[in-house]
Amino acid sequence: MALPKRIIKETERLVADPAPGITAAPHEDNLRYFDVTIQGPDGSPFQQGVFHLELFLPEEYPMSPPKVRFLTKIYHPNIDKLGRICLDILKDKWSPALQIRTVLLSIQALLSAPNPDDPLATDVAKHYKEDEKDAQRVSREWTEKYASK
Amino acid sequence: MHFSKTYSQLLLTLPPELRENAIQYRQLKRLINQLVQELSSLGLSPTVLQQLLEQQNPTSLTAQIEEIRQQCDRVSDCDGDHQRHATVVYEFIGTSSHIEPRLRLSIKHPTDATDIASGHTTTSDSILEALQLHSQTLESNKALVDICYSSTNTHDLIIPLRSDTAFFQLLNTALASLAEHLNTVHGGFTSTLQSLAYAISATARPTSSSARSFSTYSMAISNAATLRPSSGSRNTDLYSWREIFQMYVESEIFESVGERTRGERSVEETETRMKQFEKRMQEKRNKLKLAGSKDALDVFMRMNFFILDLKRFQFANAEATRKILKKHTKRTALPLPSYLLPLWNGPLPASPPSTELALSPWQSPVSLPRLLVQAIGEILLPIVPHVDDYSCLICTSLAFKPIRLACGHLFCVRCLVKLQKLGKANCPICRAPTVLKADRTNVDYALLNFMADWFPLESRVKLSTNEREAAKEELEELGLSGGCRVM
Repeated sequence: MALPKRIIKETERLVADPAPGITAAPHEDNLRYFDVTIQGPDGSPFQQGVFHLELFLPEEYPMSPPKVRFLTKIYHPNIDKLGRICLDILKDKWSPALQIRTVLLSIQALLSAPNPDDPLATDVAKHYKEDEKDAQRVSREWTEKYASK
Repeated sequence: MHFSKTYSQLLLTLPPELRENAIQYRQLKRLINQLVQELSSLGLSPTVLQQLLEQQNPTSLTAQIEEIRQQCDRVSDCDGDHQRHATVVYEFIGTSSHIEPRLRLSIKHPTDATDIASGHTTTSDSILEALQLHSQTLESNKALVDICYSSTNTHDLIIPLRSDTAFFQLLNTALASLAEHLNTVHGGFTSTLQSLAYAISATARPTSSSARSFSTYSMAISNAATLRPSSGSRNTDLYSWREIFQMYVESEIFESVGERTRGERSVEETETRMKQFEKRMQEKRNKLKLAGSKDALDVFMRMNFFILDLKRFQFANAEATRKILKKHTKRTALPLPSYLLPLWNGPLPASPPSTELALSPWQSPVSLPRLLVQAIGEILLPIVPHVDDYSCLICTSLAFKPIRLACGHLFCVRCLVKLQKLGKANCPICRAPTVLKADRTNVDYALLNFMADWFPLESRVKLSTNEREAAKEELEELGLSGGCRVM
């Protein structure tokens, strides 16, 4: 099955002109499967961390959203133990005008702005709501433990 | 190698009209030497000046300079430091066109007998004493020095610096005439650009536009489904020019648009990229069909090489200005006032007060080479429409046939049909509920016409892709997908 022009174009640009703090490279044997890294944003508890993710473009892409998952363990209210991400644009708010690049930038922004009111990892969200300082301390610890370069 | 040598060699590689307007580094250097001699003849050799100036706090010195510049006759007193008997101030008077640097020596005659008796003589004091003696000889020569007694026991010596006046005069004149020359250059470049724009427009015009100019598509005469754009590309260099401009933009010769490296490129980087681009253009040139296109391409290349020369010239000139001022400070030990310092750091946006040197071309936030690159981008490149500006955001191909939603956003008919089949109601760009309301009346015929003219190949390819996809989809909907393919 030939790769749609759109995916080829997006891949070319991701490789040639990557967004700051983000890398994405397709697998040689499956051009719809990407290895992704996102640097923890400065000023967040994930600073200095490098997080690995996997991204898959389903057959229907861009009519349906890419599937993205964290491979690196992360202590974040909107990311669960399995690395699944609670982000509206990956679900009902997906638009075919969005791209791999914009999705990854949104995930990077989610690290800067956790949203405990719309949790996926309920225990982490509870922690963040009750004692944000302490929760951030744990996030930092996990970053150091699992996401160091 | 000495800078003056490197500089003159570099200037030799530039066009003569630029060379003639460069900063005269050697002459300026000679004037510095004269100034040093002039100062030494006054007993103010760099070492003496150095020691005198070192006594004073450099920050308070600049403050003093500023103060004195404003109120020329007010003498700054030495904040009650009894050990300090004299101060030297390097000050500037005059207008923007004529600057007169001079030295102001404030000498305090010791009035207290106790002060001398207590033996507060340091090395610098002894220098000052020598200077004081010297100043008495200077006093006798009224033509050279102005003396004003500001109080009973202090008097000021004002020493005009002739060679220094000549130095700033030369620098100032050079920069002013350079500004004028660059203005002419800018004007000339813009008019060449205009005529080149006509030449390219003539050779890149779509073949079909004249034939169709009186029979534009309308819903009445054209069934959109049977529309076939002409093959085009005969007797026009439309596609060649599109490729040339595409390569030009992608080469990012003068400026980088990469997300991590955005900004103006260095002279060396620009040179390398320009050479690569030139090599690629040599191949392209042979593929141009019309003689007019080849001429236009030659002019286009020359204009870019001219910008490169201008960039090198600007760099060399800024470097020469910076170096000569540095030399001025080093050789004479005279501190340059802070308002001249922006020169050292290249073009800064800060606009100098009205009384300063006319340095506008180097201080404006946008340099001339950059302005010219922008002009190419604004005047030349839009002559040939770029496919990216007319592509569907979803499939990234030419948005053919173009559907304009009620919210104003544009998609190709194929992607819009897919959205409708999936029941997606909202516009992918603005989320307005306009998708399901779209029908035949949303085809943008003016744009369709335009696309068929300017992108004949792309429209044909897209049309057949659309048809193939639609047919396949229809079969799948009928349950005949997979192995049983009619086509």
